[in-house]
Amino acid sequence: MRSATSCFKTLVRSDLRHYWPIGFVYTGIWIIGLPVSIWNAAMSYGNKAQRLAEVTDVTYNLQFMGVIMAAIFGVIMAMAAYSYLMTARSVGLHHSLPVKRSTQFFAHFTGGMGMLLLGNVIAAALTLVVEAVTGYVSLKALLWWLVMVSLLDFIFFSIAIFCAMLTGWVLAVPVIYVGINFVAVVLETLLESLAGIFYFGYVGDFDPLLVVYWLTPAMKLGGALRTDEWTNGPISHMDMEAVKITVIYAVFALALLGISFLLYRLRHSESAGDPVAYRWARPIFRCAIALVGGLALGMGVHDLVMLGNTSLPALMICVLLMMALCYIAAEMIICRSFRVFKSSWKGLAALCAVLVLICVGLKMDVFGYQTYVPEADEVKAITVSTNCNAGFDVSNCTDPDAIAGAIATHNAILAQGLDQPAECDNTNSNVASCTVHLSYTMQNGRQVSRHYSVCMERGSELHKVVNDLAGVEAVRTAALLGDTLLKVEDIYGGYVSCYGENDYHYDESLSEEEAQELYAALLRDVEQGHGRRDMMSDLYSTVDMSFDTEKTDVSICSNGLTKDCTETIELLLKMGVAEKAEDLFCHW
Amino acid sequence: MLEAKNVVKTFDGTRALDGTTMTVPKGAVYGLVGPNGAGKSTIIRHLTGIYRPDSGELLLEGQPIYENPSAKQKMVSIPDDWYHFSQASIAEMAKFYAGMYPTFSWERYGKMKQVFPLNDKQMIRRMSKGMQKQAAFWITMCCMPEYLILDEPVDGLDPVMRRQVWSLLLGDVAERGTTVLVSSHNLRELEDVCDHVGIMNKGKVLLERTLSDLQDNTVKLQVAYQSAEEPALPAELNILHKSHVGRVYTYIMRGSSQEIQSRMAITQPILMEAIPLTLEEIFIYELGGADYAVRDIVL
Repeated sequence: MRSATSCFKTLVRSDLRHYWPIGFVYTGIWIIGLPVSIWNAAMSYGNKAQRLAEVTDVTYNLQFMGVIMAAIFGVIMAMAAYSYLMTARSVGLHHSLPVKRSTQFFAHFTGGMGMLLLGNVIAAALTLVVEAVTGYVSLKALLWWLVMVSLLDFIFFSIAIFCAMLTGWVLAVPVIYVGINFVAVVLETLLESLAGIFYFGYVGDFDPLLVVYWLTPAMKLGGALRTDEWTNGPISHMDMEAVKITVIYAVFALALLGISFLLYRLRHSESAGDPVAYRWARPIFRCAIALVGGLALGMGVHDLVMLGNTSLPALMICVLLMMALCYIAAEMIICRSFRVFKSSWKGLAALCAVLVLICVGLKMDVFGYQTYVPEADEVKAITVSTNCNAGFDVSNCTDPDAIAGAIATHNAILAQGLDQPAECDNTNSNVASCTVHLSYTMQNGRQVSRHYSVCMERGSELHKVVNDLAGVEAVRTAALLGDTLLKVEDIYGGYVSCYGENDYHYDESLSEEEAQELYAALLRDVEQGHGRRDMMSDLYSTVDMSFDTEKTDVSICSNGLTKDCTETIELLLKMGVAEKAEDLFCHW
Repeated sequence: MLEAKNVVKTFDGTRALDGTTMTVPKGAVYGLVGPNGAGKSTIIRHLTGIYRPDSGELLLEGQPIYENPSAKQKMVSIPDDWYHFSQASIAEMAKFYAGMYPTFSWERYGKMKQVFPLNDKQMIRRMSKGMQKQAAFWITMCCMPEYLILDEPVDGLDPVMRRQVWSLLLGDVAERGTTVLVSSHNLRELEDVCDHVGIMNKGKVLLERTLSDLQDNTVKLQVAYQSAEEPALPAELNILHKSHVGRVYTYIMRGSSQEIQSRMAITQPILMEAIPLTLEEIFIYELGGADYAVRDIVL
């Protein structure tokens, strides 16, 4: 019997013979990318040490290019190496050969991976030659490049092989590959958008969760291997955090390769030409397409139809319709037939019912998201940002009074009701539209954030509690002096400007003495309990003050002045910023 | 011996093989015939280890075929649509097969150059369908298989090349005892080369016998009676088909020729003659009993 090794070699040789152009292009790009870049770096301006540092820096920098190269060529190579599974004729030949499926699988893996690794080795060898010729050899950086880029190739090639195992259509491989690589981040974005519509006060900052980053290898690895994230200066050594992340993904890729092998053993040859190679995967494919497509298209169509306004019933209808459309389209692709409604309506109805239940659940707030207000003893710090007629910002404030004020504000907003109008009555001077952003840093480190757009009525409970919060010393200090308190003696200069009504304006630099005196006045105002602001006040300060120090170049105090800041106002008048106190303020 | 035992295969709810059982004896040239969609190609793909059955067994000399390289090394198949690498020439494909089959003979490869008028450096995809078929035979025959499995093997070959290919195949059978399983719709051709025949329909092998048994067991009898009216026939006769022109009746009956003629003698015919049945006629009349017959439809 011919040994398995001989058949293995024959298959590998066959892959090399047929798919060498892919390896050739891959190697060619790296040859342009690496040795040529190293040559340019070695020829750059500077002394010998600077040039060597530049060569090292460029070599480390090019690891990021490895993510892009591996992501692209990994899938192309997998499409080529396993393309025989995609047509009945080729799968017929390969599976009738006296070779086990395991030999087939690993022979094609070896062929594909071998070509990529060979490209890396050739590029590295040429780079070494260039470095030797120019006299700037950075062997350690080059070896790191070789190891990291090879690991990246392994990671993305393994992911692509997994995708190839799922389908019998060669062109479906890149589609599934992109889907698998980005499904987590897309789904998170869509769900955040949906939650933002359903939940009053929901904060979706669209910064992916940690788990979403990890589920998006291209993003995570790209981020880890961006050398500008490592340090500000030239790169002289490998970042071990990046190595750790890459190794974790390599282990994951190894596991995925194992799963792919098991899938290959389970795979029926007759699945060649089927968009989804396994019967059990078909419902997953249908539901995934329906869910992602339904949410994305549904929300898009809703925005288009409602011209940016939000209507829950309209949104539901749009999402359901688009989901049905995507579900049926997915079914058509799977069955390769247009006549699928009869066989798929039950699944579709079940999926729609589930979505409706989820939406009703969200609307009814079964998780208690909307009504949740933290207890004061759970909160370590708060960040508040308000913007009504007047406004203030305070960040990372640990003051108990400020925390209690923020919680009282939160409760007052919820007491006004969960279905508040998006726009307020502009004709009523006793009503103002406000935005309130509350962010709690909990004792356990968790962040709880809410963002509300509400209508504030003069004299209402909300008006009262927000004003009370604005009156807390820590808040007043932050509103007047910013988050960083300066030492008066550190100030060596400053600037004051004031733009008043009737085209009045004042711009002057401050001497060290004037600046210190002005800052001291602000401090005295805070100490005396001044700086209280009424959120419904139609007056706002037009005075901007900035102070220069050695440590902080400029500290700006803008629009924070209130009428009760008598010490500061008196000094400003004395300095000639305005003739009378009223000139320092404007009406809305 | 190549065996399929109760093989069942379902594709998306369609039962392509419904308990297929067949045996190809060692050294036989076995013709597998059946209507379109009977499951011939499907059972061949099972026998070559491409498909995995839902249930049942596929054995080569008692060894399972699926995922068994030692069994599969003894057989080579030429499917209806033989696959070759898109850029490959005959020489390159031969090299690939030589890497897979230890019995591959380069000596035979050289000799076959005389048989097939092909340029073995030319890309196969540039060749006509018939030339590609020749290339498939060239390479396959060089593998010196013990078992050769052919699906519509001479489809696309010209008459001369058909004869050439059959001659090569039968030469191998005679010299090396190669077992050949061949599926074809060309029953006249099969009749000339096969010694065993299996008839498949709806995923089942309806019957399989040696060709001579099959021909001996079915008789075409032409009988002329004295009157135009057909006399009463013996009840125990198994008549597959009956037709008449005037007083001349033609019967297709199951049973041995002598026995049937002796029984029919009581009808006192003027003339009675047993005519040997062609494979095509056997095929048609056997499948007629299995509800697969030519229907007289006026369009």
